[in-house]
Amino acid sequence: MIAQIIGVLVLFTALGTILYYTRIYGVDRLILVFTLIFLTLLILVSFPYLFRQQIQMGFIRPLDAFLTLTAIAALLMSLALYLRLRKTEQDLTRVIRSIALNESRKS
Amino acid sequence: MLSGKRVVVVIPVYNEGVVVQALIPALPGFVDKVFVVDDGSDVKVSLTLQKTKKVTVLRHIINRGAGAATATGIVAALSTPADIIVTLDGDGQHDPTDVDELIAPLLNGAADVVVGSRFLADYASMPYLKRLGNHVLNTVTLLLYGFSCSDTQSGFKAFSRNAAQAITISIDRYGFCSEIIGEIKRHNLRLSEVLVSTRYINKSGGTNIFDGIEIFLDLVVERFRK
Repeated sequence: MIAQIIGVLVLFTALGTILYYTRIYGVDRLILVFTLIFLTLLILVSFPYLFRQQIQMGFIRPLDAFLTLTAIAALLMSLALYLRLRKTEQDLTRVIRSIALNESRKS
Repeated sequence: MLSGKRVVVVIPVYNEGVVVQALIPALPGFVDKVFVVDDGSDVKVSLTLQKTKKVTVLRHIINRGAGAATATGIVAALSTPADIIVTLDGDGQHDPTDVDELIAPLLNGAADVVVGSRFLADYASMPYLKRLGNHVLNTVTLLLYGFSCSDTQSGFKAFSRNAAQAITISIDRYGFCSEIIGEIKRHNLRLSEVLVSTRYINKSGGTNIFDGIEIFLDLVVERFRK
């Protein structure tokens, strides 16, 4: 029970941090989706016996919520990193292409 | 046969200068211009290639991939009054004399893009892994774009000028062939396939599982970006 309370408090603190930065930097769609997932998880771990499926899936402890959130965050971060890298690569290709075309025009 | 149409050939090359040297003289006489895109080869292709007025070498100062090299060649070809643009792999696997059969559907107005397919006849001589990879990518292309053909990964293609202008190649590496098929669907272009002969060269390297993941990710991103 104590672990449950501590876990929920930590989750609330994390949610507060997200909302604080949302106020400063504005809301984007990704943060909204993430907050929604967060709130759902918060409800699920606050009331561990709300749904039978919850118990079947072993999703009861706050730790389960942390693990799920960490996995989702890691996945989203890798995707964001991949997209940024891809854009940089495309920019690089554009520069290399224009150099190649200019050089051929010169010669 | 050509009724005044200008044919430009694009050959992306990476460390295959010697092969290209033999490839260019074998191209049909009606080819007006050849753009060889040296994709950052260790030895500059321009050093090994005999310079003629017909052949222009473009050089990527660093390797950017087959897709990027092909796109550079097409951009260069579009800067000339080309009516038909043919892309040909630089590793010598395609027979340059097949160009006239490849462009025939474009000349008679039956297609906007023609793919030189290795799968329209018996392809038993194709290495098993290559065959499997091609079938997997054909399926991935079909699932992502709802459109496919017998050989989505063929580098031997012919484009009408309008098709080449409409198609955008954003994938720098291996996935660009599937992207072209998606672009054909997106712009409602007419696709035709022609059987071409292929020579399989024992080459080390090729694609591995990580390339496969990269191709898949690139295709998924491009599918939802466009």
